[in-house]
Amino acid sequence: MEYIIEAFLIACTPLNLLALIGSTLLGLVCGMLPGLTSTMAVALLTGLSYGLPTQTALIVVISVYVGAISGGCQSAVLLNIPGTPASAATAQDGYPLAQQGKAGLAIFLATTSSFIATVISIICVAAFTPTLSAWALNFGVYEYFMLSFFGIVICGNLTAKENPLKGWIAGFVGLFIAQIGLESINAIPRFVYDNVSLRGGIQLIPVMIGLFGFPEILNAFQRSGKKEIGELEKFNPIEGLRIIKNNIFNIIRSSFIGVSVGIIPGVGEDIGGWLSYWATKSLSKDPDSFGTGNPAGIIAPEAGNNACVGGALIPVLSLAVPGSTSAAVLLAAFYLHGYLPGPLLYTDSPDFVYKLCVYMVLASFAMWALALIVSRFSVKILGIRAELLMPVILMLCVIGSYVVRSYKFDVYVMFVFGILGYLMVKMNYPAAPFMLGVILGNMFDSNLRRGLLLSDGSLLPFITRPISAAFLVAIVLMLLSQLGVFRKISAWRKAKKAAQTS
Amino acid sequence: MKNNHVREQDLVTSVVLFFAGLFIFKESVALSQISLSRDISFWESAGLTPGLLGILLVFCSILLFVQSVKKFEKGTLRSSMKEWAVGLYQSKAVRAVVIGALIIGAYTMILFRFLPFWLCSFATLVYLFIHLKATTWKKAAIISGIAVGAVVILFEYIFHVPLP
Repeated sequence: MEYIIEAFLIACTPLNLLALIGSTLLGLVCGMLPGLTSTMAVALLTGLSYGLPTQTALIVVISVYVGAISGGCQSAVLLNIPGTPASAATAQDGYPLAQQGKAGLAIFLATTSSFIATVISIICVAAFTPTLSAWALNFGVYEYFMLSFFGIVICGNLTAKENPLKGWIAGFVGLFIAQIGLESINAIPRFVYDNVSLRGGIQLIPVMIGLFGFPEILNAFQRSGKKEIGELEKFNPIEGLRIIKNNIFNIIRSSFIGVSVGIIPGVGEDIGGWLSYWATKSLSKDPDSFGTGNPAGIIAPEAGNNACVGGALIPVLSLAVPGSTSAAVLLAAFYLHGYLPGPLLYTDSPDFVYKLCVYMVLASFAMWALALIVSRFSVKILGIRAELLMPVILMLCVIGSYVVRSYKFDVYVMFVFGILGYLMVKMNYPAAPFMLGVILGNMFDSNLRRGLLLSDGSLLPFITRPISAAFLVAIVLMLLSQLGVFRKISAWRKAKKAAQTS
Repeated sequence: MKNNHVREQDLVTSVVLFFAGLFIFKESVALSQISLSRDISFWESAGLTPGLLGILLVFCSILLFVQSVKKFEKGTLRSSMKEWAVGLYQSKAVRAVVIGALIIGAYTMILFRFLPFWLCSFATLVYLFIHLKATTWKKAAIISGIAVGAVVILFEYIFHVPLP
């Protein structure tokens, strides 16, 4: 309770209040504009807020995250183009409702359900993180190595669109990038080639900004054209509140789906939105009305995707394994501001989780209020063309990469990883496992070598220790299933049986 | 937008990744030798993890290579690859992106290194607005001036972050 009051008082100082409102607003606008993702917004703000006091910087990144996830619904409703992938499912019923002249109501429903779901997910963060952290205290070097490997494999599995192999490759390349620089045990330079700038290693923020911000800037060179935007009519808030009241169980169910999806490493908010939409449609008495402007079809995906915000933070805070791409970027932001998420977080910074929860509740309230105000200007904001926006974003990417260390080399790093990020997008390689690899690289390397040193080169502890063995079994099963080994065995058995019977 | 050339791209990336994996493995052997020369055991050596990652990359690239080759119909590999390469070379979108990357590269790698931040950013922004046909040059200059000015005031004077 003491921590919660303290966090509330910190957030209520004029500077922090301004940061909270400004960042939430910025997040909303970023989420609203197709092409600017929540991950990009958090990555950019992490770099830009580096010079701010720690608590203010935390408020900034959390607020922009909450705002960006929610902002996507406005363009989904008005343009039928989700501002972020998380709002893709919202467009299914949001746009038809807007075409019926109820765009204002659709945005109200989406925003209110987002707010309620975020608060539910934050309650889950406060409830589950200590339990998971306490369990993770049993982790030793072997478990940490396996956990980092598991994170890469599952993230690769879930984020690669058609081929998990590409996700694993992206993760392994990310792990390799983290090996550049002085290694952590004996300070031997690796892959440095007499370049002094590389000795300190590749910094997270320029990589992050390059990977997630740069591809959209380059895309602006390819596309142009005007967008058709619908009009926003006035609506009756009482009608909106009545619909919310009638859908309260829908919101609670979707929130729990969102939290569960968010906890799984690598699965983004878009899956949370789609799963909630699917569940609501399946359980509805009138499933045929979905896709034609059913309010439940707006409430469910918005509650589902926003609940992922809290869900994704649970593994970040307790295990230091992010639940989504945006959460991976948040993890980097926490590291940058001196917080080390993981099992020891409650020992080192017992107040951190509670402060984070308070900031998130305040940010989600600000998001709700601001989204309703902003919706009046949505039509104008959505009219901004990418050609006008992207050059300014480019300048912010440069600044964001530079300000962390005031080092020009980081801007070059951002450019190189930006090109790599663009090529990865075009060739269907997911950026999330790559980023996760860069984050977990040091954990992977140091724990593997320390473990082998402790066991004198024996691999047995990786297999004999229960938690480590469980991770190993999960990794092997995942690799084999994705490579189609089980399918082949089953086909071979069937063929053998058929041969025996004939 | 649907990517219609996944198999061709996968084939090329698998070859690149194979050689990258081999290179990482070769370097990791050299790193292990440095560690061993300093009486550091093999298990603790600096080359252990990169070596493991090099092997994993080589293995994955071989799998990707096999997967992508299987997607080609018999005898069409060469002609498909040629068709893809020619399409890539002639594509206006690819050319636009390459030009974009060159402009951004010139800004971040050359102008940013030698000119003050406000000057190089202003010049790049004006050029980009005109290149992308976003607005007229007068409006481009005004928007660029406001954007650069706002960033300089925010970081230099409010956050006290020195800009280059």
